[in-house]
Amino acid sequence: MKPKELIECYSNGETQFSGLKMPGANLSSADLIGIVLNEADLHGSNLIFAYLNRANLAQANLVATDLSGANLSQADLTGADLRSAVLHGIILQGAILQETDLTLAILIDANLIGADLRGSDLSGANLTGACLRGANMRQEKKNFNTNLQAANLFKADLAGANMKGVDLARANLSGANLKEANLRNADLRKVDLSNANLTGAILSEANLTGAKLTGAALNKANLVRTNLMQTELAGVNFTEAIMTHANLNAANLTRANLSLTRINNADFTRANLSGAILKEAELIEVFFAKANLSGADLREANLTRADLMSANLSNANLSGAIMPDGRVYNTRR
Amino acid sequence: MQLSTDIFNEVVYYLDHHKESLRIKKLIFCICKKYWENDLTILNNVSLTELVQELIKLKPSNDHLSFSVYKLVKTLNRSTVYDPLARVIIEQINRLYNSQLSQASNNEQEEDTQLITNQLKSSSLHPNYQLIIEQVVANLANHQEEGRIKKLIFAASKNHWENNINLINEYGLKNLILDLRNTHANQASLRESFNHIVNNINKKNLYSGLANLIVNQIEMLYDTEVDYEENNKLETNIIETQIIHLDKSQINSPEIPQTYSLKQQGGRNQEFATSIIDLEKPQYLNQIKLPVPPLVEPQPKPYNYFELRLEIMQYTNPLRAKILLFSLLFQPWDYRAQDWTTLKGYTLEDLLDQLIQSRRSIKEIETKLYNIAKSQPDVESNLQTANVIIQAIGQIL
Repeated sequence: MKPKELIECYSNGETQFSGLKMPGANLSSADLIGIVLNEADLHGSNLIFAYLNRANLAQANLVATDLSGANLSQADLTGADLRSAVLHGIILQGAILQETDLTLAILIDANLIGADLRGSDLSGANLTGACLRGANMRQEKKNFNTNLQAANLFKADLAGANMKGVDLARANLSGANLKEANLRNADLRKVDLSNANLTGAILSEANLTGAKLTGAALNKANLVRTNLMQTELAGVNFTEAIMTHANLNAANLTRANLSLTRINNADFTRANLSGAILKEAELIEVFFAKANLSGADLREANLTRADLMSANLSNANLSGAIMPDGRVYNTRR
Repeated sequence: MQLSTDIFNEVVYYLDHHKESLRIKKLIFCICKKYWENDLTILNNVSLTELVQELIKLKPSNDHLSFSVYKLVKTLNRSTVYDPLARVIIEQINRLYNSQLSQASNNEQEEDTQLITNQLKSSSLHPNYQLIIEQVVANLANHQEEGRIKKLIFAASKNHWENNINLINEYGLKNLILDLRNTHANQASLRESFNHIVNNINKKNLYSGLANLIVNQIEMLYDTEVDYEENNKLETNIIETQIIHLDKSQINSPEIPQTYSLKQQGGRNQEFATSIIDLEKPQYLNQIKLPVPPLVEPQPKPYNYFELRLEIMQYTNPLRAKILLFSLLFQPWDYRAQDWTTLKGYTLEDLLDQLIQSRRSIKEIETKLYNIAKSQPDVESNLQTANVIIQAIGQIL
């Protein structure tokens, strides 16, 4: 079948085209709303600005297609193959992309609002500027792994997105909006989160080993049991964050703002907290072995039973702080 | 429009006989042919004259040329070497654009005159100059050799060597750089100061390379102002856009990072060849660390850009929005393959930001967007998009 025939059949009311083989077709701007093309082979086709709203493209072969500006809102792309496809400025709002293969796809400025991306493979994909607000990427079972390894999410909007257990290792999330996003148990090793907005985000039990968060905002974030070993956190704002039982081994927290945080039972072994602000922080039973707290502001912090034995406290301000033995630090001794 | 052949020949001659003519040719070649070529046989097969002619056809205005040149240079792994060459190319080719303009009708000339007057009225502390200073400071502060770099800069500024980094930090890197900029009237005198210092210390080779790096960076502060005086307002806007996509890792190391796409040709030693990220070769993208912004503290915008983007994304087609904005800011959209690549180089946010920074009135934006929408195929959809943009932008302006 030729593209012209397809369009003619469609305009005559025909919508069932399962398994259609039409690689390299030119269907630019075609109106194919609600069309059924599951298991179709359209690889290499030109679908720029095509209307495929609510289309059924499950298991379809869309490798290297150009879907720039196409409208696929609420379309079903379950298990579809979109490797190396161009989805520049595409509309995928509310679309189903379960177990869809999007490796190396270009999704610059794509609209993925509320899309279902569970189990999809977006490794190496370019999602610069994409909007994924409220998108669902959570890992549900062992085999349902949403893969965003090394994906480029520069300035992507992921506010409120559900990314529980997602694999984001080495992804670029710099400048991204992750306000109130759920990244519980996510793999964020070596992720670039510089200048990202993580206000109120959930990062509990996530693994951020070696991640870079310079300039990021983590006010009120949930970092319970989060692994922050060797992370770059210089100057980061953690005000009112909850970081109990977090692992901050060898993390760089120079001049970080940890005022009003709850960090009880956290591990700061070898962490660099020089110049950090820990005013009114709750640091009960925190482990500070070989930590550098020189010049840190610990005014009114609660250090009950904290281990400060081998910590460097030169020039630290402890006035009003509750010391490990329970007594309040008084500068006028 | 006929180019003045005299000026054309002069420009080509200048570029061909420039000390770095080969690198200049490679840059122009890449912009024209869209891939990087290191093979001399291939490069020698095409004359610079042909390349410059092609370049002017492809990049009909200074905005486009500057954008493409800087965009290319930022992706190179020795951008500090190519940065000054980029300026040379833009300066020279600009002469050709100007000679085109001077042959244009009277009306166009009057428009140019108006533009110049407006620019002169603005404050000399152009916001983009601040951005470039921040950029230079960040580049040097984040370099692997930042300790030695700071010592060199301190020495050039204060005329004595200081080993105590804490003391140097107390002065502040930005202050020291600004001090150098202010006390050296031109790049030559700056270079001389650094040469003088390097000649008087041990580990000359190491410091000489770093001195070069520093001077190349601080040089950007000189050019910005010169460009401004030459009424190259849009170039600095484009630099602003470029910085957002700058790859910091390339500024830091002259070696090819393992992760970059190499154009493999035979068994050639690629070690010192310059390479670029080729977006058209997806098989290399696995290895590529795509460009990241180097700014540690980005310039905060006075509006919430995520909300603005959402306004547009939720209610209209993002690609149509980009095409309309592109047509408004740069040139009419004509669906050529080249334009798609250019468009991918700007995010929706970049375009919205450029529009807001351009300080056009909402009325003007409205009129222009409607006209552009009417000239597109599928007028109805484009008018709808134009409406959404105007509503969203209207809330900011």
